[in-house]
Amino acid sequence: MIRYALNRLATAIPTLLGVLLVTFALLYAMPGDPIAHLVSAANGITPREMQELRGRFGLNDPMPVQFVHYVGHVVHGDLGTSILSNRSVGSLIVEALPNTIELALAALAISIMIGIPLGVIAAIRHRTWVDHVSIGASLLGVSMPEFWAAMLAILIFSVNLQWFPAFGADGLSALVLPAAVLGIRTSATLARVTRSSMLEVLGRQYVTTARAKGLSEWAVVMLHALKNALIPVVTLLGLQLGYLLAGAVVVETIFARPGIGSLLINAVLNKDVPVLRGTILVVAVGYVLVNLLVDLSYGWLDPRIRSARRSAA
Amino acid sequence: MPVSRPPSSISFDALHDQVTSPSERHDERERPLLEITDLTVEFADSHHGTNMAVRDVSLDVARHETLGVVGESGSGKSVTMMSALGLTRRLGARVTGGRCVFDGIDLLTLSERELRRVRGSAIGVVFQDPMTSLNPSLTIGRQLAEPLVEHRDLSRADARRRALELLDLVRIPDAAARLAGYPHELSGGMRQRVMIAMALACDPALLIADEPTTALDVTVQAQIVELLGELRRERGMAVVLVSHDLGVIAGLADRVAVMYGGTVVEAGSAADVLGRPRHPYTLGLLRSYPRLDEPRADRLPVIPGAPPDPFARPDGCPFAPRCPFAHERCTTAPPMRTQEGSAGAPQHFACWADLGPRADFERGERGA
Amino acid sequence: MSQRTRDADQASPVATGEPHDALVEVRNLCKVYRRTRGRGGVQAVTDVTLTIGRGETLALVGESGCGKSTLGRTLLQLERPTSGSVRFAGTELTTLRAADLRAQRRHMQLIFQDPHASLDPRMTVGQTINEPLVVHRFGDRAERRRRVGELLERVGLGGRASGRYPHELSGGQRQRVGIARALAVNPQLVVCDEPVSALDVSIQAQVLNLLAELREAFGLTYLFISHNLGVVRHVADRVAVMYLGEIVELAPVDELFRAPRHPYTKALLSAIPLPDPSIERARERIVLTGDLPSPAAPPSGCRFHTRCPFAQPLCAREHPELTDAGDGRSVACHLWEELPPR
Repeated sequence: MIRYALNRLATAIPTLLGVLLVTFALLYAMPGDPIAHLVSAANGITPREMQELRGRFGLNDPMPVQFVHYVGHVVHGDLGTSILSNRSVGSLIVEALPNTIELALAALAISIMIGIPLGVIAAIRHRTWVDHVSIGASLLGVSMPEFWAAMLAILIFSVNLQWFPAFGADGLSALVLPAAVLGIRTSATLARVTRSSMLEVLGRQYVTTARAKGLSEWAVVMLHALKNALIPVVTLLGLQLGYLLAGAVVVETIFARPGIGSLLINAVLNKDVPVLRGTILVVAVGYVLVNLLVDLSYGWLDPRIRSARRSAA
Repeated sequence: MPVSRPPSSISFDALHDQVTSPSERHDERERPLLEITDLTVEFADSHHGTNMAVRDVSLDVARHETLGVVGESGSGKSVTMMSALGLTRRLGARVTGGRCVFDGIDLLTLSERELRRVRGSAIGVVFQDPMTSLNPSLTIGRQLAEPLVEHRDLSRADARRRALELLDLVRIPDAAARLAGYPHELSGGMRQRVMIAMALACDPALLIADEPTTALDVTVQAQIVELLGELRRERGMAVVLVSHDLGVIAGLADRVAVMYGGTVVEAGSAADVLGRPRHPYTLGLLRSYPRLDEPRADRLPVIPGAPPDPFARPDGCPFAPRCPFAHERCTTAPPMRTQEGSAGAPQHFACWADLGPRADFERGERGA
Repeated sequence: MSQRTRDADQASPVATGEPHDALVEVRNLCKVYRRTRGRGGVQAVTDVTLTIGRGETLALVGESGCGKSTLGRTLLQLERPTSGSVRFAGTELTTLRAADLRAQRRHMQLIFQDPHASLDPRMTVGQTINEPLVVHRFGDRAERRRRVGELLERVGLGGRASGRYPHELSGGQRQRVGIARALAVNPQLVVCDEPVSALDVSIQAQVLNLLAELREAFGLTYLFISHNLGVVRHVADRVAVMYLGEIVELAPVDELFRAPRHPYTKALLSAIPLPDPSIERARERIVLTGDLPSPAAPPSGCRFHTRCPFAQPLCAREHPELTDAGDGRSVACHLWEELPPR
């Protein structure tokens, strides 16, 4: 299994390079000049000085050159400097990341705690009112726009009830609302996938065998069915975690949480290219790692995959 | 060699004692172990109407006896046995009539909870395809131990020991290593042995084997048939063997019931039903089975047509549309008649005609 | 029949009892599935040599993993052979270019095992049967429509079946459609891969009779692949028994069933149950021990020796070749002469 993991990490490198290349090319093609955005002739800066500034940030070189320089820097751990704040991109990210990870994990936890049981119950009580209600609820959850839900949450719980703060990132209480908004949203999809996967597994012959052995319904569902139903669920969880790590931009903005999402938005608004590059790279790395975890989990969930990997190695 | 009554699950006994009186229990020993009477099972399907899977089926198995239930797809043979154990409820089946009396208790009246105490302990089940009947993500040891832990309340260590014994019982070599392994690591024949071991874990009085050899190669099938024969002799348990393979049935069954279109069309001792059939369907089935001990024929005798649509079962005899002996009166369902078979055992068949000496079955075919 | 080598340049022992008019000649055919990573591979078919005469039905018999289906498909070039030669009516198939091979395909067709899976659920019966006609440019639309109708009648389905979809048909009916499709372009050879295994016993007999009728009506040649010896006995002229990728015995059908020579064949025959309780209960069976070895790591010497009740030390050392056993039979066993006839 170690060998398999290392193998996958090795194949991740070309992926990351590819991400870098595409990002680079897109940003390069992006209209607008960061320097012009930052300073203007009104401040008394001459065009020549602006050109000099651009040179300092390496914006005058042709793209392939810029790319190679950049990759070289990245390998040494240098993600560049922010045009806006003149701080290193690395430090900006390091500042923002804990908030985002906190939010992502909290939201994921809420999502799992609501979504999976809901899906399982809907599957067990297939075709009864419980099933219909949970499908309806999850449909609602999925259709709800994030910003609307966020603002509604702020209105009810912050302004009216005054239970939780409406913005900021200090402490647990500030985490609750944004995590809940994100979590409930993602739990909706999770519930649907869990439900359909469980339904499929519950129809399998080995579940009938388990019942024929006289096992309690709890054992049948939890021990026999659930583990086998989890593979598509885990895949979805991986995707969701990736999305959450990317900063759940809308929620972070509305709740004014300084995380990766806000960093990204500000960088886009200010055309702060180095920050954009660095952030997207970090997010890509996050996705890759999460995917690897998901992949490894398949081996745990399904022994057949484990054997296939062992014999192929 | 006298065979003592095998111990059934403690909790089932407790349930049993609650429900029956001492004199009833004494009489039971003479009566059949499982007696299914006039069972009717329907599946409601919103698109197609009602599927009358099983209609007025009566079967019985005595202690220590092996009953073979023969039929093709759609005959209702599996549904009958699964419904007796309440395993078809989840598929949308409704039992609309009849009784299934096992050891004095009507299984159809039991709650799901009470049925669970019967399943896996007093009645063991072996299913058709061991590839899909075993959970791919749990170890063999775990799956074997489950009924033991559930019904006998054994500790993990004791359950493991018993699991090893069970694997030895079904002649699986290298048992200790197998316990930690997974189903996909075993061959089809091995997996089926594991299924049999699982079904026998709590010493059931009755084993239901639903097409246990169908998914297996013929040499492996022979092994499993031999194993089943030995096991039931050793343990003296009753067996209901459901199969479409007449040869497998012939090798194990004491008595045979033939099902067609959801009803039992013939029942009697194996020698009678398979050697001197009285129902045209049984006759046709036997004749279309290619036999190695008969000279080769150019064309196999055939039953023309196809099994009836379960959503539109005709009134009257379900076999009439395909029967070469069909008559006007066959539009009314024939009663179950009884004749004296060999050795004094009764032979039941549901047919108006009297086949007598074997009639020649029509050759040729109509498109299905 | 005398023992002659067909091809002078192939110095390989050749199965005797060859029919005079050979339609298909297979020589030293091998199919190995290599692993994507790592060493070794699955030896699905090893060194198979046989001949199918025009108009005959050769049965290929064996259990799962013996390679019979693979052999059938490799013969038709649906899987490319790893080595060896396949000659169809004198033309070497293994070296043909794609376009030429496609042209040859109209002479050799395949009937599949699973009537569920082998028909496209989105195509009507008529469309399914029409397709090969279109591919091989058979006539114009009117002629094709007529042919489809003809074929449907021939296989015992009415012309009205043409507009129906597979899910509206029973297993037996679907298999008939598969047969009609195979016959659409007038092939000479039809490979039947377990054509009745998925059907109920009473329907099996119908389909087998149909296949026999069609063979006579159209002068077809069949390669009939099955694990069911009882069925094979009724359809085959000659039978080849396979084990772990090799042919272990080849004989005319009556001879094979009367007096099997190879221990595996004996075990196979002995395993087949008869629907007669008195016979079944009294039988002395040869029950094989152990499991089928993995085709990725076949035993040394004779591949069957690990399970053979008659195995000798020689059997683990030397691999027995298919040798002439008289009466048009061949056996691959060191001990065939010493063993009792049944």
